Amino acid sequence: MFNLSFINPLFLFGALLVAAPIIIHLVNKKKAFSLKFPTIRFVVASNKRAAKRFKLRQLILLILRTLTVLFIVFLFARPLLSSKKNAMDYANLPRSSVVIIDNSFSMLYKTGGGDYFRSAVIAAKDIISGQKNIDNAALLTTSSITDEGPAQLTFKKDELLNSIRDVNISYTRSKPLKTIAAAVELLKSSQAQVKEIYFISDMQKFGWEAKSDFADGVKRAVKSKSINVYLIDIAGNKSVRNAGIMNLKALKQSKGKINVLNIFSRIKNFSKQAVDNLLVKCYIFDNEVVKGFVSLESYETAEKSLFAPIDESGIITGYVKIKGDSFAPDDKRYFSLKSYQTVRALVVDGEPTTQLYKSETFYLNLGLNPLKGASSKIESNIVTYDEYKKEDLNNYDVVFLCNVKGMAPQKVLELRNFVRAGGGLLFSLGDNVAPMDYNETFGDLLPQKLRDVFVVKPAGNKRPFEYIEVKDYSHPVIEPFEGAKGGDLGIAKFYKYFVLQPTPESKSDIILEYSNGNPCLV
Amino acid sequence: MRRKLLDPVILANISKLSLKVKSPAKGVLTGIHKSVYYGSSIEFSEHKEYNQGDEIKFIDWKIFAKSDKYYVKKFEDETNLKCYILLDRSASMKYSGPEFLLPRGAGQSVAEPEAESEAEKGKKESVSKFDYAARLAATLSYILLNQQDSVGLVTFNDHISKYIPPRSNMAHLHVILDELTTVKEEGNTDLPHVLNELAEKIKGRGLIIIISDLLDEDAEVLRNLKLFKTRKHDVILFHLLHSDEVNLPFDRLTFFHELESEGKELADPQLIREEYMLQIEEFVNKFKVNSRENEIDYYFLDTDDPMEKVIIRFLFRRKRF
Repeated sequence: MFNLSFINPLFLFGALLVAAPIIIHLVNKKKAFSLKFPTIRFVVASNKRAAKRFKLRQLILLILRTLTVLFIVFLFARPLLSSKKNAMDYANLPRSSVVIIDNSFSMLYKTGGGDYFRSAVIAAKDIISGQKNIDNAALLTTSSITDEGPAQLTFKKDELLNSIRDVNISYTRSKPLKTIAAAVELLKSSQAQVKEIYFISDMQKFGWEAKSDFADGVKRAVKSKSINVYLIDIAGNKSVRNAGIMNLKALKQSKGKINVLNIFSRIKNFSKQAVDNLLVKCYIFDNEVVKGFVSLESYETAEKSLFAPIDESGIITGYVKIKGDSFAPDDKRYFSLKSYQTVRALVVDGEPTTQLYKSETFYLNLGLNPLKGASSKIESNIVTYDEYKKEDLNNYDVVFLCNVKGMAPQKVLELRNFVRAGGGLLFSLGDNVAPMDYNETFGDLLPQKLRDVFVVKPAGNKRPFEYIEVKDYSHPVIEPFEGAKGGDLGIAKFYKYFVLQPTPESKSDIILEYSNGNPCLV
Repeated sequence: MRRKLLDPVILANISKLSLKVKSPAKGVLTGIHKSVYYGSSIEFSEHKEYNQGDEIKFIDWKIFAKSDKYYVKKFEDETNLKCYILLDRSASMKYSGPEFLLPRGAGQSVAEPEAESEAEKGKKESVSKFDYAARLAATLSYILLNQQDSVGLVTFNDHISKYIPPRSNMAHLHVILDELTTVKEEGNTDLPHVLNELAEKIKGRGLIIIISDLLDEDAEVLRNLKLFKTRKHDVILFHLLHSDEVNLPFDRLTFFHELESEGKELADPQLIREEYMLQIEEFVNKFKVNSRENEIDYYFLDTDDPMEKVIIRFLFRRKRF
């Protein structure tokens, strides 16, 4: 069963030209010359024997001429031949499919009939429902790769449909390309003749502009031409209005005798449309205490400070909320503030000296308590490691380990419990630190495992040191250094520093980097 | 138009050659050929026992002295030859090369020059088979008359058109040449009939030279040629074809028309050439083999063969007899 169609059907009138070779054939026959010839009887005898060949040759010539004309005409008419049978055969072939649902946070964008995630689930169900008994399939989510391990291809359609129902939005980072690579691995083991990957997403992770880059990434991940990848864009080209609270800080300030809470929020408009007078409300203990408005241009970020009077000491909880839009999760952000009188810091000096300015902790202490008076909010206690072993960590809010050589397992355990209970811990490394021993001693207390000590060597015109290059001041630790009055972190020179063990996935954030890109503060 | 029949160059080159016959001739005049009559020549033939009536002067006394028996010497006589040249003047002998007619429906006139291929143009000046045959006949006549032989001419198509009896004087050459220059090629061939008729007409032994394209019933022709051999004639057969008839050098689709009838055939020469040439070869071989078997001297000629070479080759071959 074939369907023949033509892109330029008018050219088919040219098929009338097929008459030309026939006319040529007839005219040629008429144009035979006449010759009086004595030995005609031998011509007749020869002709009888050659007649069959002669007629065949004439016929072949006619057919060739005719076909040539038809071929040229068909070429100009640009025929399209589609085979229904082939299409049916293809549809009947056993196939293996991997359905990937993007369960990232952005899928909660609300649309008219629900959110993107709901649409993605429906689409996935449709795909699975359309599977034949000879087909097998697997379900993956963009967040399921490392947590649950890859799923397996199964012929049990009902199980797959149940699995789809169980899929929820994940608050972890989505890994779309990694998920697609896992799907390819799954399909490699399949013997099916048709292999397909359905990637259902709102494409928000990559941004609309970067969709083509994502497609290229998919091509690189798939490699095999025998696997078809279908990118199903749930969002399509819908215009979505969304503004979100990117960052939130609550600081207790005293204005005269009145204690106030300064709630500082950074709000971003993710929409193409500008947002006018976006309502921002602050709630403390579920009571609305203050509100304000902010106007944002397309993709603009703005900062908004709200001040609320507080009476209580101790822990204060609350949240900031902006007016609801298509994406609810980023419309509300919580804060919790412990109303300390002072922050109690335990500074462990790994290499104490009698000359203060040579001590590891001298400058740290100066930074923590610059005014050396009761007005300072940080109360630091500098101890040696031996003294540290006697300290009760419950009396402190934060611990600084400065160039500490090692630690007894029991003390590490105590430290781990301290951190789990909300205590702060900062490692400051120095020449007492042996990377391998440190990794073994502190384990997951370290944000990233240490690898080695790197000594900066001048080569050519390259400077013999690295400096700190701040690219992002959004982290609260760095934030005070932002702006003209914030000082300059770049003036510090680093001739030797620790490099960390690189890992494909890290839960840690890099807060500061050296000028060569290596992490400085993690 | 009178044909140019004798080429002085050829005649000069062959002046010292003579045409000989295989078997002794019966002539009354003295010539270069051995006569069937024993005569007074000096060439010894054989001895025979003396019988009454034999001339005494021929008794070989040396043998008598040795054997005491009478033997007489017999001498071969030399006499002149009676030669008949049979010349085919049928319409098929008229062919001198391609004269293409206009395509069908455009009349039967001669086609435009551009209708001919380069190969065909090159052969425009080729002679007709009859012209070639006439020149051959004239040259042979000259040679024979020059050596005191009698030469006669018979032209024929389906019957004997002209019979010029043999004469041996040189003035007879003019009679022959007159006939050769005025005769026209026409009519169908019936060589068997002509041979039959002529065999009855010719008395005594002689040399029969036949010049024809032999486009007739092969079997009949061969059978009647034997008639001359049974009557002790020396037969020479010149089988003459035009070079086009041998090679079929045409390259376009052609309606071939019969020269002696209304028959025609559409054929692609390129397609049938190989087969055609096989047919011609078979046709020629049939006469060649049959002639050899019947002691007929057979010569196949193509109008492209130079006349001088043909004559010299022929005379040298005859000299061996």
